[in-house]
This record gives sequence, structure tokens and C-alpha cells, in this order.
Amino acid sequence: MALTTLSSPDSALTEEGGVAVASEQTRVAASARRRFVAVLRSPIGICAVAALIVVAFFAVFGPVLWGDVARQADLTQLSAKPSAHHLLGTDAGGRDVLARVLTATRLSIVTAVLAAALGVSVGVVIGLLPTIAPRRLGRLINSALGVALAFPALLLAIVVSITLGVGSVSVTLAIGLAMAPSFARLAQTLGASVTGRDFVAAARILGVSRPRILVRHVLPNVRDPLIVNASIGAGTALVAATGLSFLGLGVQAPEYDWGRMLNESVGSIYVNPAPALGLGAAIVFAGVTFALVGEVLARAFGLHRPSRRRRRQATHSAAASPVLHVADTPVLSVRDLRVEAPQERGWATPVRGVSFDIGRGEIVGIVGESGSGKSLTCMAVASLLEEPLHVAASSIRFEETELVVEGKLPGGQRSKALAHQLGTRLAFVFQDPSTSLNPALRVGTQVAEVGLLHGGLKRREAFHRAVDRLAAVRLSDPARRARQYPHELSGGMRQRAMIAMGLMVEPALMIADEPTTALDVTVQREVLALLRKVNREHGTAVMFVSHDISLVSSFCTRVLVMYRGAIVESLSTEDLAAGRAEHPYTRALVAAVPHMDAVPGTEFATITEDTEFPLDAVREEPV
Amino acid sequence: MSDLVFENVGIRYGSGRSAHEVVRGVSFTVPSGRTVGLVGESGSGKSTLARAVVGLHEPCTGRILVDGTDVVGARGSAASVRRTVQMIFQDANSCLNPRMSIGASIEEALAVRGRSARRDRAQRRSEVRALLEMVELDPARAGDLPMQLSGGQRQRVAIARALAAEPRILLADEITSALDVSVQGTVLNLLMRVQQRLDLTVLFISHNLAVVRQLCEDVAVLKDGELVEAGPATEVIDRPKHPYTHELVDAVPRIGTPLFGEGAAV
Amino acid sequence: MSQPVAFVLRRLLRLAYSVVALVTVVFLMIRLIPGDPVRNALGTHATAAVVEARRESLGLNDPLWKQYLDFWKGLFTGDLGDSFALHLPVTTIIEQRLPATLELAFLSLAVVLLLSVPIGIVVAAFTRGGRRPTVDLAYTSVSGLFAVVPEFLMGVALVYLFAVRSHVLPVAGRLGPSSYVLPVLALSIGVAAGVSRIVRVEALTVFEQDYIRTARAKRMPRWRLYFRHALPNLVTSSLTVAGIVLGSLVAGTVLIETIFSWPGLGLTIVDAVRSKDFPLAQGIVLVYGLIVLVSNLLVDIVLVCLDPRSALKET
Repeated sequence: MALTTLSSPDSALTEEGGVAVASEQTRVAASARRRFVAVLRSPIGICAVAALIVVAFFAVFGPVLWGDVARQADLTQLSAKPSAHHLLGTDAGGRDVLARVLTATRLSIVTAVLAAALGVSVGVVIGLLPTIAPRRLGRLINSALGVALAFPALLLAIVVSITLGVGSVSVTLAIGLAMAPSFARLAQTLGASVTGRDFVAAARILGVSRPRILVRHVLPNVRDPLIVNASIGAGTALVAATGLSFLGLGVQAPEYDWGRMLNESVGSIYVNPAPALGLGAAIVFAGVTFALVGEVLARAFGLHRPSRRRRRQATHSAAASPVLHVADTPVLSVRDLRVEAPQERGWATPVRGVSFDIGRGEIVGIVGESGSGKSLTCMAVASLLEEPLHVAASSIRFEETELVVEGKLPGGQRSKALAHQLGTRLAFVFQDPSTSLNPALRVGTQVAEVGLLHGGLKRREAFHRAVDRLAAVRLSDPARRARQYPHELSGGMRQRAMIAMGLMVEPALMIADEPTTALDVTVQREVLALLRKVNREHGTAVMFVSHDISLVSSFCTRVLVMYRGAIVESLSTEDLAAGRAEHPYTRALVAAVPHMDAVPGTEFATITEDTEFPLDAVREEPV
Repeated sequence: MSDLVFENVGIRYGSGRSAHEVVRGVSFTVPSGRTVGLVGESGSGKSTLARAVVGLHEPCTGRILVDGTDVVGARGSAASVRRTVQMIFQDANSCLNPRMSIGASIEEALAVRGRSARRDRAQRRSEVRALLEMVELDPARAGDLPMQLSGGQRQRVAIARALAAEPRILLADEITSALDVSVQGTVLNLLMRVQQRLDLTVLFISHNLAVVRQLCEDVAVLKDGELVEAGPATEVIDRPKHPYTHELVDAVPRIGTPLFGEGAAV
Repeated sequence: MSQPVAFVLRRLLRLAYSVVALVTVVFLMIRLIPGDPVRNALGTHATAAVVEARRESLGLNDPLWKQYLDFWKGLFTGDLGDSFALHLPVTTIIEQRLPATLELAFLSLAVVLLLSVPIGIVVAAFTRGGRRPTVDLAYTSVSGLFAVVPEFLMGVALVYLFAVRSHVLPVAGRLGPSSYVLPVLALSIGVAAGVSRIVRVEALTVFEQDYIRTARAKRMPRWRLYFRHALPNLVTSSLTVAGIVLGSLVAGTVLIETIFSWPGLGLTIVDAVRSKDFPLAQGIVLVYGLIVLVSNLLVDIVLVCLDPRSALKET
């Protein structure tokens, strides 16, 4: 119906589209390939590839090149010590140990790889079956898995090898089956995290069949971590197989692997340690190889990024940013604040030179969209940003104390006096009260801590004051709440507790970073009322950060508008309300907010996605 | 033409002792071809209600009728009726398979529609392009992976995928609450245009009263799993009868209007 | 009924069906052996009459269900049959050998936790946010190497160092405190390295949490940040790891006991399997399984006492 008429009949366009599609896919593939190449070229990548080549070489060619030598028994040289002729000496049968170690590579590695492959395959099938099987069968599989997981793999392997008897085949089966439960659990956990996502729900709603959901949506998204763990699992299988053979429960004569040889050489370790040491080296080398390959794959898939840090000289901004508003008695005065963040290549500047003042007792709003740098700005001002972020400014003065040293704002702890000042005069309220309170500590303990650290209070006094402060933020039954853990409080209560934390002392400035974004509107109103009460009663200045320009304008006295890391306009709430905003971005932002008095059924005002607004600030007020 | 009717719907989470009823006795109708807003705070059960329509939750009581057919626990023909209902989700990051190109995601939705599975690939491709054009995206981007798109663009792809199934009813669950306000308008306008062009029935779930008032003809207000008020959007929002609706409307910040009057009790 | 109590009851129920599964597997283990286990054990020289008599005395000629019931009956009366090789009741042998194995496993667990948790936290504190890349690299390489070295190799290496190179510590037997040092070290070093890596990753995750930022905003000394605010959040995950690790330590005792001639269950089961002494092997596997199941239960109960919310996560 409607859709068919919309279909474009233009076949020429089809071809163009086809070409474009192909080139896009190439581009995505290319970026993944580039990461792979970059990882392979890194030191760890080179090590892994080199080690893998060595292991693979001996596994493939070991028996071919040294197999004959390994069989030759020199009866004049039984259990000989190392010599030029026999680098690792000979065994009790007079055979060259080095040749036997190299020859045994194939059996040891093949056993390990096959066992890991078996474990992964069985594990993935068992682990992902519940996602497509009927619910009851799925539950049954899950409980069986829970029981199987309780037993350590080596014990399972011993049980299986008791039943299957000894020998290389039964060792492979035993270890493979013993590893299956843990891979099943991994596949299940990964699968569950994918099936819980909306795109799987969307596919189900569309009526996509369960097997197809598994193949098209679940498997591609769990593949990478499974491959990484399979590689690590091969190392585990190697150790387990060697261990079983070492115990005499694995490979049997005339076959031999590293474990069996180690068993034979341990007895003579007092007379001739060389064979045991050589075998140890071989086992560790192979184990390290599997671990390295796993790590490299993890990095190549982007599952594990190496932490990187680069040193950086303080950079001076090309032009000093204008000061948009100067307060007479500023509690906070920021000049030319820059924040830089390391990227894959080079550095990004999420805050590019901002300057502003906050007067005593003022409520200033900082408004901007995601990525505008508003949160970073207030974190930087509070000296809470740490490496790898780099903070520079020409000056940040908080109550007459200069925080900037030689153009930089050092993160972390500095002098005790400064810690005391920031701890008592600057309070911070974070966005999400469900994560900002420590889940393992009682609410009262956390509120009381500031008094303990900076208020010179004893533990008991601090706790009493905390209860008093919780009452001040209108938490019902504060004495009981103080003894509860954060998860026992509602979102609104937790945010009140955060504010109470700031009120343990007399802060001159309270920085509130999106304090109500995670809350419902009715709760938002209560929390804002509380902030305003703090402002009125204690004269505490409030720096209120939000993405919601209507909220900022209905709560603050002055608004700073941030866009792409710069403050583009500073204006009073009255000017904003009266439509006197001058910067095109501010105007666009105000226009884009849905109004309660808009004409129903009309289109919403929009900002075209790639509009570039000027970064230059407007309304420069005389200093 | 399709309407969506909730009849005394109750939904329970968990079972036995830990059972917790998140939706209780909710009845209302989304009339054919209209856009109805469903508002309420977090935990009010509004998303749960929508997910029950498409079978992601099973109601313990009541019926959900699509065009007169009960779709609760739908099998056979009722399931195909239910497939005329499609849903768009809040989180633009998780609504598309990160391993599938956006074109492939839309194509999959076309394929399961049944008859088009027999159609040749080229025709499906051209339908994908038509859908992308319809949601105002460059058809040449069909090969892009979701991570190459912005949040607003991803949400438009999600709309295109839903439309590919030729739905009669769309459920939009907080589709713009994770987006910046500058992007929000584009997605909402698109939804509005698509609704008019294809004459869709839309249940629009949101906590943003201003958006609901402008976009929806009717509105239903949920509180703690119960329906407290329903009616024409402007009437309910501009002249709320229920105290809870009143409280909700009052808490909405308006540019330039102080949230608390001077000297107001705080 | 309160959450934790309900949790413990649920957990006990799971223990019950885990035990049933264990007993069933152990029972079937012998019955599934291809061929005749008795003929296997007695060798080809035994006459058919001897084999038949032994089969009869073991009840292997009864129908399977009756054997299964008898097996359970035996369990409740403490009768696991007699060892083929040692001609003693299996329970007697286990009674003699169990303490040595438990000592080894639990001492090693203590060493693992005492080494890995502080090391993991300290290294995480030193290297968070990409600080001190050299420390990071050194730690990652060394701990990675130790984690890869299997416990039996570590055992062999220690035997070599202390038996061949110096003679400070005894390398075999269980006589006096000094004889514990090498087996416990061999069993715990590799595991401790691996666990310290897990603790470090957990600690790094905790350091990134919002509540640590909240704590930093209070401007406190670093030690207080790590030990007062981060550590309590690491206890749960460390204990969970400990539960998993205990299983592999118990399994590891099999190898370590063989290397150090430690008179425990491990040495016994290896001999039993080699000499096809199936009743003994069966009994020991059962005991190993019970040790692991019961200690997992204890860990879970301790976890719930420490952090009642973990009862909710369990499904």
C-alpha cells in the first residue's frame, strides 16, 4: 500500500545506491582492519605472532624433523646429563630429550586445541540453547549448568577419564567436556546481555524467528569475547592435559606428551634436572603464547583497550577568551580554562578557554547540550579532574585562593590547607544519586565524613550533626535514614542526602551538576526548592548545570550558555525570558524547547543537525 | 483502520511472594488514526503497558484488543494481527544491532513481512531506500553501521524499520528522552508526518507534557500503575481535574517563569 | 520471610539437588566403564570364578536401580565399600587422608587471599587512569607469567630449587611446619597471581565509580579513599572469586600431593585410578565434590551476610 507507492522506480538510482553501499561497508571494514594491523604492530602483537609461529612450526614440523632422532635409543647414554650431542641430555631409555620435547609439541598442542574447541562448541550450544528453546527446557539446562559449574574442571576431567579410561583421545574428551560448563556460562551471560537489548525486542516484535534471532542478532554480538576466551581456554586445556598426563592418567606409552615426559623426568631431577627444566620451559612458552594471543585478539576486537597516557606541555590558547560577566565580589573567578582529553590520535579540547565569575549568593546556570563541556567545566573548577585529562587555565580563584599553578591545575591532593578549604567551602552535588553514594556505607556515615575530616568533630558528634543535617534537608525520620544504606532510599531522598553532605559545613559555593536529571519532575521541584533554601538561608552561591534551558531559566538568576566547549553568551534570566538573547545558538536553543502554550498539532522547531553556530561570544560587558 | 483498546489490564512482575503489580485495571482506547499520549513518572507502568501490547510482557488480567482481536498470548492469526503493531524504543544506542548495517536491519523487517520475502533483492533494496528517504536519511547510507550515525539518525532508522513492517499502530516509548533538545524536534516532526501520511494509530509514551500537548490529540495519565485521568490533551493538561495531573503540570519548568514565586513557601 | 533467610533456604535446596547429581554421577562413573571393571581390576590372570565372586560381593549383578538404592543406603550408613587394593573400608582410608588435603587447600586459600587482595588493590591504585605505565607493564608481565605457570610446574621448580640447589626446606612428606611451606607455595603462587589480576580489574572499576568521585570531592587523604571507600566494595567480588578459586585449589592438591608425596586424598586417588581401585576412586571423588559444594555454600552465605543485596541478584 502506502509504502509501495513510495518505492522509487528509478533504476539508475539503484545502481548508484549499490555502489555507495559497497564503499561504506569497505570503509567500516577498513577501520576494523586498521585497528587489527595497529595491534599486530604493537610490541605485544609482534611477540604474540612470533610466539604463535614458533609453536605452530614445532607442532607441524616437530615430528617430521626430530621424530626419528627421538626414537633412537642410545644404550650407552642412559639418563645422561646435557652434552654437546644431547643438549638436554637423554632419558632413562637413552633417547635425546630435546628431540622428544620438540616432537611431543604436536600431541600436546593438538590435544589442547581440540579440547578447547570441543569445550567451546559444546559450551556455546548449551549456553545459547535456552535463548531459543522452550522456557521450561531452558530452565532445566540452567539448573544443570549451575550444578556442573560447582565442580572444578580438573576433577570433572578425572571423573571422565576414570570412565573413559586413559589415553590421548579420552584426555581430549575429558578436558573438553570438563571445560564446557564454564564456556556455557560465559555464552549464556553474554547471550543474556544481548537478548536484553532493544534490538532483539524489536526483532521479536517484527516476528523474526527465534533461530534467526540467534544467528543474526545474538551470535555476531557474542562472537568476539568467545573467540578471546577460546584462545585463553586452549592454554588452560594445555595445562590440564599436561597435568593429567603427569599424573599418569593421560597419554600412555608408547605415545608421549610433555606431561608424561615431565612425570618421567621428575624422578631423576636430583641427578639430571635438565629434562625437567626444558619441559617446563616448553609448557610455559606454549601457555604464554595462548595467553598472549588471547590478549592481542581482545585488543584487536576492541574489547580491551590498553590504558595510554601521554605527557603534554601546557598549551596556550591562541586568543584569551573574553570575560562575559564580572561579579563585584566573586566567590569563584575563572579565566581561560581549558580541558584537553587524549584521543586515539592527538588531543581533543572539550573545554576551549572559558572565563566567568560567580558572585557571592548568586544562582548561576550553565546550560548546554551533551558534549558542550558544561560538566567538565564544573569538575575542573572543583579540582576533581584527573589524568589523563589535562586542565590548564590562566587563573581560577576560589575565595581569594589561586588554584592554578604555573598555568596548570594539578589534579589530586595538594596542601592540607587547600584540601581543608575546598572540603569546607565547596560542595558538589552529582547527577545520579543512585551511583554517587557509596553502596557499602551507611548514609549517615557518608554525610558525617566531611565533619570528621574538616570539621574537627569526633565520630559520634559528626554522626549527630549528620542526623541534624538530614533533618535540615527534610528527610523524614532522619535518625533511622542515617543508619540505612543508600539502596534503601528513593532517588529524591538520596539527592537530599547528597545536599546534606554539603551542608555539614558552611559552603560558599555549591556546584550542582544536573542534580535533577535522573529524577521525576515532581521530585525535581522538591530538590530545587531545597537548593534555593540553602541559597537563601546560608548565602551559598549555586552553580547549576543543566541541559534544560527552561529549567535553568526558571531557577537561576543568570545563565551561561555553552556550545562546543565555549561560553557563547551570558545573560540574565529576565533577558532570556524576554527574548533578548543575541547569540544565534541561544536563540535556536530557546526556540527548540517545546512550550506548554504551543499550538497543538503544529510542527516542532528544529535545529538542522549539521548547523554550525559561531563560537564567538556575544555581549561583552565592560570590565 | 485500527484501534487499540486496553480493557481492565493488569500486569504483574515476579511470582508468588515477590509478585508486584505494576499495572492495575487500566482501561482506555487509542482510536484509529489518532495520536494518544501516555504520561506518568518513572515506575508508573507506562512502558510496561506498551510492551504488553507487543507480547514482551504478559498481562495477568484483562484484554488488549487490536482491531477487536485480543492479542494477549497471541497465536496464529492473532499473532499476525499483533504484527501490525510496531514499537520504537527510548535508547537509540541499543535499538539497532551494532553488527548489522542499517540497510540490513530494515531489510530484515521487510523480509519477515512475508510476501516480500519472495520478492527479489533489488526490489527490497529499493524499498529500503524509499524508507530511508521517508525518514529523511540519505539512502546512500544504507551500508552504515549504527555507530556511524548520531543518536537522532539512529532513532530515525528505528522508525524506518518499524514502518517496514507496514504497521497500522505505532508504539513510541520515550523515543526522544535520550536525545538533545535540538535533535528532538526533528524526530518528533518526522513521527508526526509519518503518522499523517500513513494514517497510523500512535500511542506516544513520554514524561514531557509540553511535547505530549503539542503532538497528541488525547492523553492518558498513569500514576503507580493506575489510570488517573484521560481525555483530549489540551483539556487535560491545560485544565487538569485530578490533583496528581495538576501537580505534574505545575512541576513543568517554563522559560522565564520562576519555578517558585517570590517568597513562596519552600 | 526475610530476603536473606529465603536466600539461604533456596541455596540449601540447590545444595540438595547438587548432592543428588554428584552422587548419581559418581555412581554411574563406575557402571559406565566399558567392559567389566572387576575383570579390569583383577587382571587377565584371575579365574572366572574369582571375578564372579567379586562381582557378586560388590552387588554388580543386581539390577541398576537396586545398585543405586544400595549405594544411597551405603552413603547414609557410612559404608562406601572396601578398597580393592588396600583391603580396608573406603571410609577409613578417607578419614585418615582427608585432614592433610584440607590443610593444604585451606592454607593455600589463605595465602592466595592475603597476597592477591592487597597486591591487586595497591597496583590498581598505582596504575589507575594510565598512571605509571612501567609499573603496569612490569606487574602485568610478571603476574601474567606466574598465572600461566601451572601448579605442578611450580612444584617441580620448587623441588629443583630446594632439593637440588639448597636444602633449606623439606620437599616431601608432611612432618612439621616447614614441610608445609613448599606445597602451599606451589599451590598458591600461580593462583594468587591470577586472582590479583582479577582484584586489580575490580578495583580499577570501583575507582571509576561515581561514589569515589563523591568521596574525592570531600578532599580526604588517598589511603582513606582506597581503604574506607573502595575496599568495602571489593569484599564481595573478592569473596566470590575466593569461592571459585577454592574449587581449583582443591583440584590442584591432586597434583601437588603427587609431587611432594603429601599423604592426602590426591595421592590416594591417583594410585587408586592407576591400580583400577574403583571403590576408592569413587569415594574420593565424592568427598572432593562435597568439599567444593559445601564451601561454595558457605561463601554464598557469608556474602549474603556481608551484602544483603546479593541475595536479590541470585535468581
